[in-house]
Amino acid sequence: MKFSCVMTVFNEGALAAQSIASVLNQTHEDLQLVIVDDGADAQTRAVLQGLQDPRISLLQQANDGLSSARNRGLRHCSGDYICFLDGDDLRAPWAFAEVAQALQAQPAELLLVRGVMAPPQGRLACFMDEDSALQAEAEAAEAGEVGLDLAATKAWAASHEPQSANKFIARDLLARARLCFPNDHFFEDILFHTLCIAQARSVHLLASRSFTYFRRQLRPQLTGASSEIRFDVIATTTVMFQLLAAHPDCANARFRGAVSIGALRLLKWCEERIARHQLGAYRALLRASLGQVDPQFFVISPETPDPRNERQSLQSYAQAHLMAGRA
Amino acid sequence: MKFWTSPPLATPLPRPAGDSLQRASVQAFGQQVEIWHREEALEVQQRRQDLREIYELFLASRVLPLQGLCVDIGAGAGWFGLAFAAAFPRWQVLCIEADSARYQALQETVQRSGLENISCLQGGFHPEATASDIPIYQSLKRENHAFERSEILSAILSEFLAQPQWGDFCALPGLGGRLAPATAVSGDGAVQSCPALPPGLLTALAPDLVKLDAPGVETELAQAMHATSTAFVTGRLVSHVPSAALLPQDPEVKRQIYLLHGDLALRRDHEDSLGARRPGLDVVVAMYNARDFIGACLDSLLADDNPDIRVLVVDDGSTDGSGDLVAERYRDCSRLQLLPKANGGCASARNHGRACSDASHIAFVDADDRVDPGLFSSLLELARYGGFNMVEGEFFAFEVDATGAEQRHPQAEQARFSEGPLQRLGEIRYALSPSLDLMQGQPSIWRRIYRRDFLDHWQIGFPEHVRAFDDQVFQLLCAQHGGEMAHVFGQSYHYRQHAAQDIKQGDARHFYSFNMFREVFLRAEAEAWPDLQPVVSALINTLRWSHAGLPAELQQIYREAAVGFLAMLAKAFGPGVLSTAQLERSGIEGLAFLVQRRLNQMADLPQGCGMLHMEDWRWQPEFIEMMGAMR
Repeated sequence: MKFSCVMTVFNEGALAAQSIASVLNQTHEDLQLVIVDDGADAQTRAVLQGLQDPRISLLQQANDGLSSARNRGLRHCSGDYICFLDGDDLRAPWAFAEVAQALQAQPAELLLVRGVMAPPQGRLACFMDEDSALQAEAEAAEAGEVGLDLAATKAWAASHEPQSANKFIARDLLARARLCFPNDHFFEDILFHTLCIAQARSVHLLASRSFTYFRRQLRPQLTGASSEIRFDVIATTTVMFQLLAAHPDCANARFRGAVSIGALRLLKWCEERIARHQLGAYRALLRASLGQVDPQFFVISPETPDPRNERQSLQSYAQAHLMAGRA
Repeated sequence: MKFWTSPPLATPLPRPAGDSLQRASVQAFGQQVEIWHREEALEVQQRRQDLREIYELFLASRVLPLQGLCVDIGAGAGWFGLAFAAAFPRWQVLCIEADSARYQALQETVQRSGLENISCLQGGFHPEATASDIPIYQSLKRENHAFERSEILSAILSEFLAQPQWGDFCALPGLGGRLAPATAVSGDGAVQSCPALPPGLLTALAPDLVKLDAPGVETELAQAMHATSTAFVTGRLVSHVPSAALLPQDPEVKRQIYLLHGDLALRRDHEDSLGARRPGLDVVVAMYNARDFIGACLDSLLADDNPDIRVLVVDDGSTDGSGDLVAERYRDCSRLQLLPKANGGCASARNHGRACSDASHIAFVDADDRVDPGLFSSLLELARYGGFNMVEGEFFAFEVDATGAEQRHPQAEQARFSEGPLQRLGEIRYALSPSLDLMQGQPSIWRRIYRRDFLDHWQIGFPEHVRAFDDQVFQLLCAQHGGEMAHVFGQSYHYRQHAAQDIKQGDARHFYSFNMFREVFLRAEAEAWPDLQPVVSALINTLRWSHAGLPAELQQIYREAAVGFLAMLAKAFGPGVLSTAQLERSGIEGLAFLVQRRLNQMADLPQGCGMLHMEDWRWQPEFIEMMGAMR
């Protein structure tokens, strides 16, 4: 079983060395690491120059954005399963071994793993979606021997955080569904995450925490002018809703609801953090964009996985925006 | 083949009677393993939880080399050790357990697993066990290049076991019956004799990873690892082990640590040893013509001999010879550095000290103040254990009169800390509170230590063009972003009050506060602070205090300045940002009316954040002086 991991690097510097090592030091050694140098700075490039491992494929492009870099990386993957890791995050040493073992027991096109959140200080925590994983586990236990069916598994998978490091995707699935990241946009994961789940014919949820997302104080903060990138979340969720509306799984109310909760959470989060002088423009764009989306996404079934108890507030959030300015 | 097999004890301990072992299936590190044990349900649950909530999170966030030696101290039935051995097949795992019943379960667990990379040793680390002749791994390695690590390990362990020692241990009922050296614990638990291991054995083995669960002997084990190249240390601490013992002696050793102690976590990641920051505290002392006080200040800072604390004295162009005095008096003090610069004001001196600092934590002390000798050591220790962005001590003001007599004025902080210290770290008593509380009250930035990466991340510094209120903007930004803050009791900063305290003089410097608050509101806008009320409230407090202290001719200008500033805020953020009740608190008569009148005049203009960039000659002392020259 061969794994390909796509990693894009830009300005991670010395941190990239650890991320790279976390892939190369996997206890399951049959792997390819595709590193895309997306116009990296000198410090980061110095890290890349020191690499020797024959399992590394190094690609270069002028800085063209994270989505574009990941898409370039995808075209060079030779593994049976593909995963992603950002250049400043870590892959747990057992990650590939666990997936290989799980696949041996039962094949699947998509596997989701849990993660660790390393805050700048204090105790390490589980990733934000641990409660989704735990409640999915509880529902599976209730179902007994048969476990969760595909529809239920997909609903819970959609309830996981849209995060690129938390999934392993069969190469066939990527090819069949023509999955890629939305060029030109940040907040790229929500679209990719949702479409992976929708298009997969079999999905596994695994138990171990297999990646670590670091929230750092060492690296500069995106403030001020860069809050413009928050507009991108509107673009990617709009396209995601439009594409998903055409998929048969859209009839799965729990799945559809979980997707809506995830997308609306992100839209609201960005609205709360965008610089105040851009708020008016953000809201206008949001209203115009949500207006183009099938309204069934904003009526969220009470059966929807909702481990963080957000269903009603997010539904009201969307509906209020859609009704704003009308009599 | 096993890398090492423990020989049977010369006098075997009795096998536990009766109850047979139970099987527990345990899931961790991507593996499912079976543990044979005889623990109570609660203890089983605890062990499982530790695996998933401490060790899995720790290991998932590290890069482990492909091979190495892991020593599992307090292995119990092999909960951690076996899961680790299964997940890391090229590592060697040595499980150490003192208790006979648990050791027997451990042997069973290991044997049934069929894993070859895990071995067991019965014994408990004991401070009184001696380690005279144990060969050390590093020197054996140097002498025998060709040797496999396992051969060296065998050599060390065999040599050591040739002279077995026994010691008294006591079971701790509150800790699942774990054994602790009887000398370390007082209690009436039954004493049992077990093979005693000298902490020096850990030095000799020099493991790459240590899992620590060793009540009663934690500090000794930390000291035993101090000089080793051990790269990973995790576990639970029952007692407070001084962080300096856990940090590696050699700064080149990149040791990663994750040790839980109650609610605290002593954590050190890979990037903390990337060389950017020395793990310690730099105390920046901004000094300008402080000849009479600087000696007392620096002596108090240096009093506790903590090598992790350095003092950076920035001589901001003193003309009274303070610089020479410091250079002379502390010539032989390696922990103190004198940084002379051209005069630029207190803010510039603090910023310069910060620019020269390479420490993980920083503090800013005034040259005429003093501290309790243990203040900064306590703050640093707690900051390391809690990871807090800010840790502060208590403070009091003191005055020295002409006769040299000293008067102290304790500060009333009852409102903030009415419940007193609720937490402890060893001898350090502290309480936690949200940093947002710091928005109110006068700045007291000097009694705190700050994580340097926190200040850098949020770009919090001292604006240099102002000659007052620079520490107010610093404090307000820290308050907004600091998160949970620790307040240490029983250690104080001594704030010296002079008969003619500068800002009390009621001069035009009060007008700097408009400039400073605009800075803060611009940040609030860009960063979308969810609640502006704490800052508005701080602004009103400042208006009240400044206005009251000004002479009549400046009060008039100040009033107009305040009206314009508040109207700007209402136009930028909306009228809801101001309340009449708040405006009346300012002590400026008719302020609410005057602001409303100004807003009425602006009624036709749209509301918008661009308004925050308005300017007025009354908002900067320099403008006021130029205006004075115009007439």
